[in-house]
Amino acid sequence: MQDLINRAKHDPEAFREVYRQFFPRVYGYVAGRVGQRADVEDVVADVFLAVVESLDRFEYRGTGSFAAWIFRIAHNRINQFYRNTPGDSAALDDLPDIAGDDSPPENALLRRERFARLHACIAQLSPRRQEVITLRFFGGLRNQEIATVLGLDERTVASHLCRALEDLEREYQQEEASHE
Amino acid sequence: MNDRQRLEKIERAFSEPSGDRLLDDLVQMTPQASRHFQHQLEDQLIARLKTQSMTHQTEDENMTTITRNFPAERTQPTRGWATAAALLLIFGGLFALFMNLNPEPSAVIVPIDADSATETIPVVTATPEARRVVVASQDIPRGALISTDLIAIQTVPAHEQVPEGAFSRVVDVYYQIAARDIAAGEYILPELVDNNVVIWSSRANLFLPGQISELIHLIHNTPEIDTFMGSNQPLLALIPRNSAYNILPEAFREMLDNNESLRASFLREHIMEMDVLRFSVSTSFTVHSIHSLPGGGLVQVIDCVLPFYDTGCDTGQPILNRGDLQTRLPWTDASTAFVPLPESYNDELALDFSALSGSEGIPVRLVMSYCALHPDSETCDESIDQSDNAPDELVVLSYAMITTTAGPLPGRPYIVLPDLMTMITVLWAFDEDVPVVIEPVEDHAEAGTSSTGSTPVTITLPADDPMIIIAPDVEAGTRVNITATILFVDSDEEFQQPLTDGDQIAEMLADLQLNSGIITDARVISIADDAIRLEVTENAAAIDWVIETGLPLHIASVDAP
Repeated sequence: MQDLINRAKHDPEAFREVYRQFFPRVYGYVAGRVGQRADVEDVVADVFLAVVESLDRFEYRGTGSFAAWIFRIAHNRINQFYRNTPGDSAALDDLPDIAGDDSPPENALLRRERFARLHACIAQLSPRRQEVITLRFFGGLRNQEIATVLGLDERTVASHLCRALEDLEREYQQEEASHE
Repeated sequence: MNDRQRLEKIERAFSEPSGDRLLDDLVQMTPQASRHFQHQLEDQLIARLKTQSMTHQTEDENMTTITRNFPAERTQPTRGWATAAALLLIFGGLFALFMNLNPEPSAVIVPIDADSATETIPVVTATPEARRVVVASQDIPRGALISTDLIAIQTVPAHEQVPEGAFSRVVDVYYQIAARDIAAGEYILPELVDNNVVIWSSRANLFLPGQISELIHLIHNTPEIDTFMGSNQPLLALIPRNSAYNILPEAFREMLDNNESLRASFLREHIMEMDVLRFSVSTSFTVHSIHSLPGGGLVQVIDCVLPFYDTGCDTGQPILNRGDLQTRLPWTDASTAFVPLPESYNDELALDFSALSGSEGIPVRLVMSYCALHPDSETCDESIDQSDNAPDELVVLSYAMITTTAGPLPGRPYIVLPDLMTMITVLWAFDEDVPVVIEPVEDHAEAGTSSTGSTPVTITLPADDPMIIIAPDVEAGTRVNITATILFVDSDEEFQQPLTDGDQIAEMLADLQLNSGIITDARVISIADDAIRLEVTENAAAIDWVIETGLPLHIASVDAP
């Protein structure tokens, strides 16, 4: 990985490989936090532009350091986005696609509805717990990497994760019940 | 289900369906980009990367690359258009330059888009005959920090007069202070800018030279705050972890000397509850805290505040307010009070609101550095009538260092351990074997558990009783490595497990030992109807708080008459 990242600083093909490796995770994380597809795409583009611009300055510090770095950028860009854009709920059509949406249309619609509910529940969490949940599940980061991204102790991340899931369970059950 | 079981369940859910609807949805319903967007962005990025490489190769005096390390807030989300426009300008500029299609250019102003400030600034009309000058792109009021959105590069044909000394490079003007009002279009001249300003803050405006401290509290949803320090200003910065984390890493790397770059990375990678950074600024820099999460956020820049360490300052000692802690908020709406504490330990302070005559019913918002010390507490920016600000978990062993200065045992080397945990196993390793004694602060007696060298010792810390390690034969400033296995206190008692990353702690402590100079910790012990009591549990030099009211505030020792 270190070699690939070093090459990616000047070699477009190496960068392409890095991009393809991280794009889905970064997109997932941003989408989990931001919601509306157009906004997600803006933020994601912004993140990767920042990556291109500052890749030269990145110093490899071991396994996971690049992921932490790139997600830190994403984290900051999302915060910037929210400072400039008041929170707003996204309509179903505005939400990003969900993995597995190529299933039959009726199933895809159901999945998107469930994702919308899930997204709404996550949005009810405190910002810190939203971060932890989305980094863990949509960004695919491990607790140690999340800790680095958020500047927290790994134990704190674990604790937030557990508390967030508890909160989510309550919210999710209520949401599900209200739709049944 | 306890936390450990829950974490294991999460892990398993990533490899197989857990049967838990929420967990499975979280794992399986990952948002996915359209292929069109992914490929379009990929192409755009690759083009950008190629352009960057080409620009670096062709860069010369007339094509200066200006890199901003502190990008301003984005106000337009359509970055893609900005990128496309920048690429168009770059390619167009190169083409025009190489083909020499425009030998007699007219003056052209190229705006410096703050959002694209990391991009190459294209000077498409520059020729060897033309001159580049920096002009104000809009009216700049006196005292304003000159950022890239306030200035532009203008290329002027050779036959046009340009005032003597007019700046030709943005980097010479960038982040200087406007010495007087500058009109839009006016050339930026040396006499119009001033970098001899000690501290600048977008929140507090200009600070007077010689002012010894500035405290900037970043509260959730506050706008970004810059702190500007002039050249060669020695200073100390207390940086709690959220803020430190959010301070752009590049800023640290830029502003620190080479031999402190490790320290900078340390701050990035291992932020603790509150940290101390000492550095002497070799060039102007900006600490740019771009966001503060709930409960976090305080950047405190202190110049010459610490009396016990050689700060390199010669502006005199700070006033320590011994025995007289009465203060008033300095401004009716500025809301910041900086109150150094006396040296005594375990001093209880109360914020006595009795002086707030006629204040009944007026909401008072209080944010203390305590909140920043425990940024995980999400109630910090709540009003003080919130009944409990105590954190429900404590996660970090505070760092420790040996000192002989004032404290519970003046003249004796000691290490203060926080009293925030009920049990701690301490393994210490001095450079050479020395006897050490652990004892409670209050007893001041050389009794208790002792050990030599690297022998691990387990002690149980009584609640609310700070402990110290005494190393009578160790000189102040001795480098100390401590590893600790900590049993944390958790409110629901489900999460008590040892911290196993002892090496990391040792690294942090060793690193801090080289650089830190102050340990500050304050803890809310009770909130009464009319007072908040603070107990200083370490050798605090100061407790800082923000009261968001313009009303007078009386701060007094509990025991004061």
